[in-house]
Amino acid sequence: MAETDIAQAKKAGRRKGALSVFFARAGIGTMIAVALLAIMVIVGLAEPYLPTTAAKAVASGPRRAPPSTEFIFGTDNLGRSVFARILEGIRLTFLLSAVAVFLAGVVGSIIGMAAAWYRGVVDTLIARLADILFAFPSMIFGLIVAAILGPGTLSAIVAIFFIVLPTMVRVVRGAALGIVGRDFVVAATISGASTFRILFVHVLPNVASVTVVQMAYLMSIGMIIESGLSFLGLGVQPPLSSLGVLLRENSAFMNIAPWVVLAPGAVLTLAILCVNYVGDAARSIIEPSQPRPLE
Amino acid sequence: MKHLASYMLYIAARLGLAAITVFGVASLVFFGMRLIPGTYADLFFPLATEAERAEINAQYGLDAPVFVQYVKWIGAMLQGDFGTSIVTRGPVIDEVVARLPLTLELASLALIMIAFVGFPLGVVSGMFHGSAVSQTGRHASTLLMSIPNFVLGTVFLYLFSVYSLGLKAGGWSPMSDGLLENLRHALLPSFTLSITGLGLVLATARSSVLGVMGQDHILAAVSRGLEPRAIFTRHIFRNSLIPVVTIFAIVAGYLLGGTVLVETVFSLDGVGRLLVNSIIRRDYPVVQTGVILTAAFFVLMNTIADILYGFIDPRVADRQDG
Repeated sequence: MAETDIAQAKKAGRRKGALSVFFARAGIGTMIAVALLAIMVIVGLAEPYLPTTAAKAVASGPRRAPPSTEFIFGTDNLGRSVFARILEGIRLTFLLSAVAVFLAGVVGSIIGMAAAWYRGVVDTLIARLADILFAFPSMIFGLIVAAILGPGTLSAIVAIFFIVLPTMVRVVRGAALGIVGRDFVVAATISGASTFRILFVHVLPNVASVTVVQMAYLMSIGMIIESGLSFLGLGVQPPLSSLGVLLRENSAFMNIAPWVVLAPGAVLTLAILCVNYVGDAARSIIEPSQPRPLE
Repeated sequence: MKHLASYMLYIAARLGLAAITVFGVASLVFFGMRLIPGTYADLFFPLATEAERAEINAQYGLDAPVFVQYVKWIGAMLQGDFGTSIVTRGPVIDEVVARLPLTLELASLALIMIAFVGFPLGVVSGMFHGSAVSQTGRHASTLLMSIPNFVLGTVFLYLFSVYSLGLKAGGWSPMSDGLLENLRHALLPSFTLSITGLGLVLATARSSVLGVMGQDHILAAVSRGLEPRAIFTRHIFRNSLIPVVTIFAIVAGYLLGGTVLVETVFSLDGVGRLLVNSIIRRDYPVVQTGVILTAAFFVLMNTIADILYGFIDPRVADRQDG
């Protein structure tokens, strides 16, 4: 009897996996966002192997040609296909933000759990440092990092990492505070589990969902920062293109060839929008009726 | 009486934390700037001899060990002396104050738009839960938070250079030269600056109204037969203000630091662009002062939000944890 109960419970538990709940509750808008996001990620990963890469070369076509069947988004001032460069832009914008946000997620989780576990001086110190980073104007922070390390992809990643880190630390700390006082953690402590084991085996799985949702939002922030830095000429360097680079390079030709700016601007907005929709949907499952925080 | 005392203690603690944070930002920007390779002399006098460059550095006290410079600078700042700009050789505070009106006007106009557009739309969108209006509000807020402001600014620059509609995209006319002309230049950049906050306040107001409407005391008011108008003004509206007021203070703090890209797109000579140019020119004192003022404003707004929250919800003040 008891065994069948357990079997049933296991079966029920399996049926309500996070992903299936996500798709069961997702509206049509979320589904579209997930699909578009999947396409963008796949295109971004596959970009170097796509046949479009040839059209990124200078003088692949006429200069500033309007959108046509051959060049969907037209060509830029040097005769490069805007579409091909946008695909590379999607790759770099996603890749840089994802790397930075993932690192911030890992480091932020460890720091946040440590703050909640040790409390006292450690907690105070971490909270103050997070406050300081949070109060620093983010674009100026990015500029100073780019000036120290030299403009490029590395400084973009470092800048995004430190800009999103304090939010990650705060969120994980808040979630972990509610876990460390629970009975099963106390039980683990009494049975002599090491701090490492308690944090990574008992606490981490319980804060993981909040962390993942937060990472989705920070991903959109990361993309805005990356494109902003590149727009100022301090992130990705030409001839490589991120979506921000395309806006920067092409804005001088906007009046004679509007597509060179409108296309990357629209793709960038769409990409961030999709990330936000997926984040919203994931959040509504974990924390119903909570507004999203700033940064 | 006991409650008042604990409340004053709470405010004092918050202000103390704010001071520590601003001090931390000041230290971070000071050492960050000195990590950047090359000084003003290296950049602008590349042909000068080593001795001549050392002399220029000495004029600005840059020859002393970094830690000595740091202590001197903190000491001077505590006496209200923000130092001398390396590039213009004038007091830093004059440089910042000359550009502050533009940036403050952009931020204030953005805040007004957020208050008079984002907030009412959010309340309306929350009241008609489940309707098309409510759904539109939800999607609009996500869209507004997803458009990077420099993308919108660039599109505006294009659209309004083709179809002016009486608005000017790019350039500035100070308020002293006539309010109308000033607004024609200021409206597009301030709207561009406002969109993230607009979306955020809309979303917050919407979910706050939704949350209050689902509570039992609203059901009780409806069953007592109160007029819908009275239920709205007395029960829903006032209760839903709590999170909106705090998010509003946070947005206000964030706007001032967010002007860098907007000023760049619209070629406006404000504090944001001053900071960008000063980083490039290694004008340490100007960058330090600009960052400290921006961060101090941000921290102050956050602190006000915290205090307001403690005032509205006394349980927060009683808990007293960071």
